[in-house]
Amino acid sequence: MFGKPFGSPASGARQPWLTPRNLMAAGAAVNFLAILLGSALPDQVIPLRVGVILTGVACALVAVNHRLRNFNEDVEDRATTAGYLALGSFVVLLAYLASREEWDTFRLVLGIFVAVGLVGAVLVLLPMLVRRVVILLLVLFHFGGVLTAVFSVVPPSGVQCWVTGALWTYVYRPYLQFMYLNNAYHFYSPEPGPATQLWFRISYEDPKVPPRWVRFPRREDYPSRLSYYRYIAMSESTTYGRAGYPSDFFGENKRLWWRIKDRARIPYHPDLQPNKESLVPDLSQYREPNDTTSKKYIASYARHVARDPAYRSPQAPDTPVKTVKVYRVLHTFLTPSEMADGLNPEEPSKLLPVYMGEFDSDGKLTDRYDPELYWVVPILRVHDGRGGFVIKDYVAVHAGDSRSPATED
Amino acid sequence: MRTHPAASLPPPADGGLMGFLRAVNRFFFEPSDTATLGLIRICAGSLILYVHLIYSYQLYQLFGKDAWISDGLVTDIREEYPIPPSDFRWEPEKSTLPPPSEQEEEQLARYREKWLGGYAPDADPRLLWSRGQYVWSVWFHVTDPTWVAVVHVGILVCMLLFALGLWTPVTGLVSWLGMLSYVNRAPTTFFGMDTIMNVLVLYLTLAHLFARPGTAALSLDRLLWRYRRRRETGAEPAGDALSSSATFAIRLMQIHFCIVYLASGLSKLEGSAWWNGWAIWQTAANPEFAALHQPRYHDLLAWLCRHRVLWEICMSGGAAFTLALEIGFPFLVWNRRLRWLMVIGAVLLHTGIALVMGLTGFSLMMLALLVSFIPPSTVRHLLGLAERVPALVPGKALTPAPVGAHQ
Repeated sequence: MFGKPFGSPASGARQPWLTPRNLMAAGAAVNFLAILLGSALPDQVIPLRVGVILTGVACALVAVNHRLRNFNEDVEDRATTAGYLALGSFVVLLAYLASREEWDTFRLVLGIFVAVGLVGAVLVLLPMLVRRVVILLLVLFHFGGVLTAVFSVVPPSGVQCWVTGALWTYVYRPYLQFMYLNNAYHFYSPEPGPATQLWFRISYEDPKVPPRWVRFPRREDYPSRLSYYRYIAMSESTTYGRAGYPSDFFGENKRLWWRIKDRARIPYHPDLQPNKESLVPDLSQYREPNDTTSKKYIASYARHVARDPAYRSPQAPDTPVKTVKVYRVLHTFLTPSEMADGLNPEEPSKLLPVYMGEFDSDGKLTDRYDPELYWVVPILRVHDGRGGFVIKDYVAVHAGDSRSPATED
Repeated sequence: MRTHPAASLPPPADGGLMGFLRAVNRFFFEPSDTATLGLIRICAGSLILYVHLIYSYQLYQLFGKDAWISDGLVTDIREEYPIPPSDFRWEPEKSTLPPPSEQEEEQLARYREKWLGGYAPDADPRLLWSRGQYVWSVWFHVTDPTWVAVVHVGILVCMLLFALGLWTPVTGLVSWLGMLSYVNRAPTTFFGMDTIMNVLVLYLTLAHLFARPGTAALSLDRLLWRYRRRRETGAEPAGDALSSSATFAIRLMQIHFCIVYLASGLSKLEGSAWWNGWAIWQTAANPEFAALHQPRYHDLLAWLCRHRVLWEICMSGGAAFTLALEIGFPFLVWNRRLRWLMVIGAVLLHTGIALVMGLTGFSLMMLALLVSFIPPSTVRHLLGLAERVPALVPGKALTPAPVGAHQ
């Protein structure tokens, strides 16, 4: 039954030494060498060690793949192929042992390869009909996971489906995350909605160097539209809101109180204030991002702007950045009536900025007690009393500038 | 007789459970011509290469140590992101954990402040189901600028070889793992295009991992296989074997496409804008996406706005078309008579998305996935020019695989 346990060289092959058996042996030997390298020189020749590990894994994969693509359904061939899969798993296990503990995600991939190899070995041993049944069950599991991701999204005005939530948490999370299948495919839903920009106001260590505004992203800054859309996606990542209100929101000398006190300097946005006579802002004007992701992303973006030489001052490129103020700006679109009337799509009053805070070069929030923190800072089109209109840019007022990106051009 | 995976479901030869099982077996595993798969590989492989080539302009800004998402933050998310448990009772269970020690309480307080801001103030992190994410990326571990460039070029080379169809099992696997590296390191820069790209590469890799040598149509692997066989046997290789792994992969793509459309269509029904037609306006008049900076586009839109009835018809019609197509496609595409209508409708939808919203990459990825519904005979007909190079296309008289061969 196992007369040819490792298969035989391809007949008439120009390189008779290039057989799955030899490749597998080479893979094992190479990964043993990598283990020895790791023991002898744990912190040196890292690229060499990585190269050796990858070579060993590649040899094993090629050997296994060659067997998988050529085996017949007779028992001996199936057993041989299963043996190759098991051996391949062993070689990958050696690679796992040869890698450093800090390469945790690399080890994750190798661990998965080991598991897949062992499962594959069992599958190959099965008769074809049974194998196909098992494969179909795996397909059901796979699409079950895809559908779990689809139905796990919390509806706009509802509660998450408990069944899919529990399935995702307890069964599918590792699979969907690793395979990058966690998307719900809710494209442009429930509504397409307006896009988001980020405005950075960069202040420098030298007070004589004037601050600089950066509007992000701008179409003209990128060689390809694809890059531009990636950065739009980055801006959108800052829009996930916090549930409820923080503990320091209500009450005297808390966030709401400070906003009320500041209304003379920065008025409430009239379109978001149903009761215009009220001294208290409508709470729809408070838009704190969530702590789990959006706040961290905003801080990281500010940190990057502070450290990237591209955002230094053109007049003083050697002067480091001191702080970065961040505004998250919703760019609402014209109504059909406004477009018919000839209003410019870049009309400043269609922008809805929310102040996200001022950060130092390490991305730490420096103005936790700014009265406008997480509040809408309006840009308004108001009558000038002479039959025309003027733009009141309160972002510029808040930032202490004469202009903001809304009124710069 | 050739079998096309895009054919409508065949009626079972015999009724009952056995008939159903045979139909399922034929649906997923009946060997088929690999021309469709080959075309998908070329289209998807080229797109994937282009997408990752574009990263070259912003490599360090996206994947370096001080990238937009810093190395520290992405590591924190990977290791500490909170995963709460599901409640198995109507009321949350009271914690039965012992009170933490002083040192433990400090750690818990730090974690609570860092991650649990939206939870109750006394939320106990020990009650979380899990922390962290199961993601991998070479960019978590390679941060030196020189090596970032080297690894990036290596991945690009693999993607190029995959698009060309050379050593496809290995280059496909490396391309997929490479693609995961980019999206996981810069998670805020991905959008719909990347999720579809992953689906394509994943299923293509699966198909080629198990395909018999020489069955991959429109590939350098096939050219090399024919060359080697000619040298070994002295004669032109006779035809080509059909491949059941191609059928399997095509079916997975088709099912996944249907799920994408159905999820997208049904979720749109949650929004009032899709019921009243304003959703199309929200895409067409979005300054960040639409070509409003182009005078002709802007003027056309402004003209439409000055003719309200026409505006309403266009917007409502567009919304209705989108919903009808996305919700109807998964059910109607399997009918032979309606399949071409569905395919053309999908082409129109994605062409519209590309033109109106500028999402060309996303549209092309969806169209590459849509190719899975095109029969191999149609692909051969479309590539009639390629038949002058017979090595690129499996022989016209396809021969079944030898008896006992693994399928």
